[in-house]
Amino acid sequence: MNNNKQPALLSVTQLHKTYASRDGLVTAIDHISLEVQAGETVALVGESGCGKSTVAATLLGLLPADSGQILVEGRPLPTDARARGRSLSMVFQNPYASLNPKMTIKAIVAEPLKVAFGWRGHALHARILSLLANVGMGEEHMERYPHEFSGGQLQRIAIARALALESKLLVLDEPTAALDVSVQAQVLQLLKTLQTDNGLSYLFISHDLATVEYLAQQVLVMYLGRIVEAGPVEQVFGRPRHPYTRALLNSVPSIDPERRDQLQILSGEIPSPLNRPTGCHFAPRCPRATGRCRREVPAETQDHGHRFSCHHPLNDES
Amino acid sequence: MINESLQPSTPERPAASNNDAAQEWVLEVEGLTVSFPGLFKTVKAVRGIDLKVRRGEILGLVGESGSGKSMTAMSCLGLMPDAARLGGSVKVAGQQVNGASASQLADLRGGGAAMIFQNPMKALNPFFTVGRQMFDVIGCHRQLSKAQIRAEALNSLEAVSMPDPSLALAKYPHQMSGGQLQRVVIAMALACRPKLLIADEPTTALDVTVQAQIIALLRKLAQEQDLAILFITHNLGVMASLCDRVAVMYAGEVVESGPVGQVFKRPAHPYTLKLMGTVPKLGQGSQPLGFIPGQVPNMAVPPAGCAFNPRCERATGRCVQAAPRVEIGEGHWAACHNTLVKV
Ligand SMILES: Nc1ncnc2c1ncn2[C@@H]1O[C@H](COP(=O)(O)OP(=O)(O)OP(=O)(O)O)[C@@H](O)[C@H]1O
Ligand SMILES: Nc1ncnc2c1ncn2[C@@H]1O[C@H](COP(=O)(O)OP(=O)(O)OP(=O)(O)O)[C@@H](O)[C@H]1O
Ligand code: SF4
Ligand code: SF4
Ligand SMILES: [Mg+2]
Ligand SMILES: [Mg+2]
Repeated sequence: MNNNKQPALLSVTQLHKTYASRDGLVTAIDHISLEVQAGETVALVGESGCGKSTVAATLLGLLPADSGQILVEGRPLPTDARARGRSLSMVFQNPYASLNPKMTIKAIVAEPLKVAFGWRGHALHARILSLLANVGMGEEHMERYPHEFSGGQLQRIAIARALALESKLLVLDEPTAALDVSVQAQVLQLLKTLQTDNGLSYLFISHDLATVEYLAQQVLVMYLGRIVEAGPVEQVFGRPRHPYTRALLNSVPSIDPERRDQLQILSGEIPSPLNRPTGCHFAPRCPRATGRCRREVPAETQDHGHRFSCHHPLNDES
Repeated sequence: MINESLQPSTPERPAASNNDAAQEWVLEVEGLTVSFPGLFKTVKAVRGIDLKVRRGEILGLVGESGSGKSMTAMSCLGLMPDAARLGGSVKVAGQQVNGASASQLADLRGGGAAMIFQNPMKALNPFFTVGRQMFDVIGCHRQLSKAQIRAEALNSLEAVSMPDPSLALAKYPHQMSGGQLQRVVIAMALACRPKLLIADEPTTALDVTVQAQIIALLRKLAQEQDLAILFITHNLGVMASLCDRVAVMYAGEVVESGPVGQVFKRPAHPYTLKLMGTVPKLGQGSQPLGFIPGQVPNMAVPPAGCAFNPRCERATGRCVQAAPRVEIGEGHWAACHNTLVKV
């Protein structure tokens, strides 16, 4: 896209992934393209089942893509899992499930250090300490087991482990969804500090728009396997062009009880990914839908780094 | 209850005689305590709380992890782990729950009260289709023909915005996403037409658009069918949008309670204010988030006096003594020596 600049840290083009299921072919991601620049947080938002975790899993090589290209700093992603780990690592939604209950915290953090870098002995111990210090934990936690920690502490341990690989990009799949509000605030702040201190990039998967606004600079809005709107957070949230983005924003319950009646309720059915509508996928629920929307897939419009796919965009001043 | 019958009647709620007033309360919890005796220490999960929910009212229960919300909810339906010791009194629709026999409890859960959990897998059997489980549950609570049961199941799945309800009936739980399973469980509970619904963080796994639909659905059921709801959540936005009254829990106690508008506009307990500050709010960009220093207390050795004392910026010498209940406004009180709102 930008020939004179450095290649993006992560560049994904036309990524496509289907699952074979007993009831037919499920198109989980439908030719999506995205970029993450160094030091930047890109958020991926959308409804349950729209394909967010599938994007994460294909990026990490946990699932093979049907087609499409994944480049890291302009080079194809290594097929070897170990080498791949140095480019991308992952923090999962549920720390209780993603950390081995039979391993001590020290062993959990040591594992990637041993496997990827061959660290041993004293150097290994020192490295573990510094990683734990990064997330506000220390020596006294090293010999303990996961069940002795709260969810927020466990998520910090999971982040320490992800940092161990020194990958430039962390994929965070709803990292605070299982946590308390007060603990969520701590983890979000930690992520922000780590980013400033270490120049990390994040692909941040979430369906909490306020959290996205807090952490991300760019946002991708996904609906039923397609990216329907993308751009800088202030633009997409401040002046959404796609009716689905508008609906998402209007569905966030406000902490102000006086605004409860402004909550938007979408009518219409959520289509099944097995049987996606022709034309615009959002048409069955869209208040602006016309006959054309039901026939033709809307093409992508570019507007100063803000892109959207809609036949009748909102806030159209042109 | 006596206070209740003295309140002026409103056109929507016709004047109640003493008897009717007693029936208005679908849930009455008084001095509830739940503890887990251990070999060395006893964990005091719930330490004397009072809650009341009227017909058609939605009470929200909010607080940090481990504050005792789930234990409170489960004691309302007599669903306690064997190790738990219960004290105080819980009544559902005037019927005593603690001390009730197994068959009385089964009746209660069958007719009067239903519960939905955070983890929908708890409520579903992995070996049967969703349809079979819904038909069984509806069939044993309501006297209906087979066709009526099926229609009722489809209706309630539609009410929770399930895509393709008839396809959903044919699926096994593992073939659905977490959000879809939660909708099945909510639909199942509602199809039994309970008087009291206890919901323990049911929308955590759902997206905002579906969450908004469920909020609207629950409010409609409360308004139109007089369903009473005890709703537990971490999400203060959901609480503000859904509930009529809220109770804020900390370390096994209710520390502030009142009408939702008042508590959110004029929080009087320092903990409530702190909790509200930790939530990222849409429209505030990347403004720093507030946080609560320190950790939730160990419930085997809760701090003396006000339990929030070690983490509270307003704490003074007298906070090591039990905090008094301070009346802030109508039906709004906070348990604190130094309330934020002067009265
Ligand atoms: N192994 C599988 N076999 C068949 N279909 C699958 C499989 N895994 C996921 N799917 C389907 O692919 C779609 C995308 O799933 P994915 O887990 O990526 O969604 P998501 O956006 O992460 O949702 P959530 O917010 O609920 O985590 C869904 O419709 C899901 O049912
Ligand atoms: N079986 C048990 N034995 C001992 N202690 C227990 C047991 N079950 C729960 N507790 C304790 O009871 C307290 C209250 O737990 P509860 O599950 O009610 O919290 P909660 O407010 O629902 O938290 P969350 O938001 O995490 O669901 C906690 O401190 C917990 O550790
Ligand atoms: S293309 Fe049509 S149906 Fe789709 S979002 Fe735009 S207006 Fe709505
Ligand atoms: S009683 Fe004291 S310690 Fe407790 S909340 Fe009030 S000011 Fe803080
Ligand atoms: Mg997912
Ligand atoms: Mg709980």
